[in-house]
Amino acid sequence: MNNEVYVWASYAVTFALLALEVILLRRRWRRLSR
Amino acid sequence: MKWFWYASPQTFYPLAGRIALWCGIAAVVLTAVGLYIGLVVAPTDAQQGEVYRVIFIHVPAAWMSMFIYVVMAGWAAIGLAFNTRLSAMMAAALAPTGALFTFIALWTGSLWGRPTWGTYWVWDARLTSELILLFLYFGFIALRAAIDEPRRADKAAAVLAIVGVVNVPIIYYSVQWWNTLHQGASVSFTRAPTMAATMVAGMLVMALAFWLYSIAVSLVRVRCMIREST
Amino acid sequence: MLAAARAIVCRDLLVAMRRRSDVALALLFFVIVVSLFPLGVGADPALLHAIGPGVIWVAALLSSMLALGRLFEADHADGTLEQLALGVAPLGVVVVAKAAAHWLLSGLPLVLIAPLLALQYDLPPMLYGVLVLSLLLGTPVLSLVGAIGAALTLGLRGAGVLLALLVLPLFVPVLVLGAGAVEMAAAGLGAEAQLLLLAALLVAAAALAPWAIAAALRISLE
Repeated sequence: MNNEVYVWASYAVTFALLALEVILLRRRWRRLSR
Repeated sequence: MKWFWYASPQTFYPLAGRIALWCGIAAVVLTAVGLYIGLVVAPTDAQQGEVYRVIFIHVPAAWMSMFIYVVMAGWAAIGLAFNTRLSAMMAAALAPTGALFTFIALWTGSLWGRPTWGTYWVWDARLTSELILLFLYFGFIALRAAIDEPRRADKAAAVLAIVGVVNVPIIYYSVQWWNTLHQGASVSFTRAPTMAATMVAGMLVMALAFWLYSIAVSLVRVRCMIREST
Repeated sequence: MLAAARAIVCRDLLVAMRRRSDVALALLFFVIVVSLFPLGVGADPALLHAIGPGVIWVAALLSSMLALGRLFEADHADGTLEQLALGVAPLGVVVVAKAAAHWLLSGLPLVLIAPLLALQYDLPPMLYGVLVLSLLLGTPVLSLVGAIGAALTLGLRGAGVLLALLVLPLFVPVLVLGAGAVEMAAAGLGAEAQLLLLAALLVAAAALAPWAIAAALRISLE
């Protein structure tokens, strides 16, 4: 198995989780501003 | 005197908004720069090839996981000492982000360990104590969630955070105290780094980016909490 | 101060003796858990030698943690705890006394029965000393640190499981050192390092935990 998969998987998981955090926080904010 | 003026949620609210906006923008810019350095500029490693590039996420995330816990415990202590509601809110706002970075550090470390050490996990001192840090974050969040009265929740979680802060030096120094599989410190305040300069630069830029991201996200979360409490 | 501490310890022991089943249950839990592992993993002697110290230590952790539920709940329910918190004796002394009584009831029995369980795992008798000593040093730490968790979760719904989440991560260093001491001795290397570190943990816990327990109690009682 190509070792570089691990690098891409790490970057993908990280930025996906960070994006998720931002999205959930935006939702929370939107719910309060309504 | 100025500090205590901002201790009121109402006055802190607009300030938090402005800081969050600028930190958020800076975080995005620095992430772009950091990724450019890490993925384009930095050379291929002699031993590990391209796999080492996980370091530009793994190390900054690990640094943030410990740093955020200490800051969280600091706000908790201030909240206990001065009995200020906003300090406890800051601690609570930091916890989810800290837990996330701990998880990212563990996850990326695991994905890095597979091709280099041959295994996704070992029970050595640093990995184990980082895992304990994740459980400490969860415990803090769970305790806050379990107590209905806000002030009791603030103070109880504060005591817990302060008790848990002992773990952070253990994580940090674990690679010196025990013979572990995990690599020792390559970046230190006192000695020259033992890595190529571009690699260090990439790590530091990404660390700064993560730091600014954490500030932005935590301040937005505090703003949500201020709104929810009125 | 010492008189108050002695009075509290004696009172807690007396109350516990009147409901001997509680104390016996914790001990029985310890024995049962240790006995379950050979049934689950198979009775291969080499395997049991290897996992024995760890299993005994984990069981000690779990039964110590189970007993924590009894530490403050009963006194809280009938109002005694508020009286103790308002009383003349410093709250730090009160909580140390209660933790000491807790250890005498749930930690010390484990220490005493451990050689019997080591026999079940066919551990060589030369390890008994290290096992007992490690438990002797470690279980008071569990009582003290566990008391912090018990004080924080006082009166909450689902306190039992929450207590486990809060307290087990803090127990891990004790577990690693305690089981590690016995494993070092089994390998023929000295266990001094682990035992000394356990002693250090005990001293640190004895010095710092009372503050945390008292602070947590005050927060939970107001």
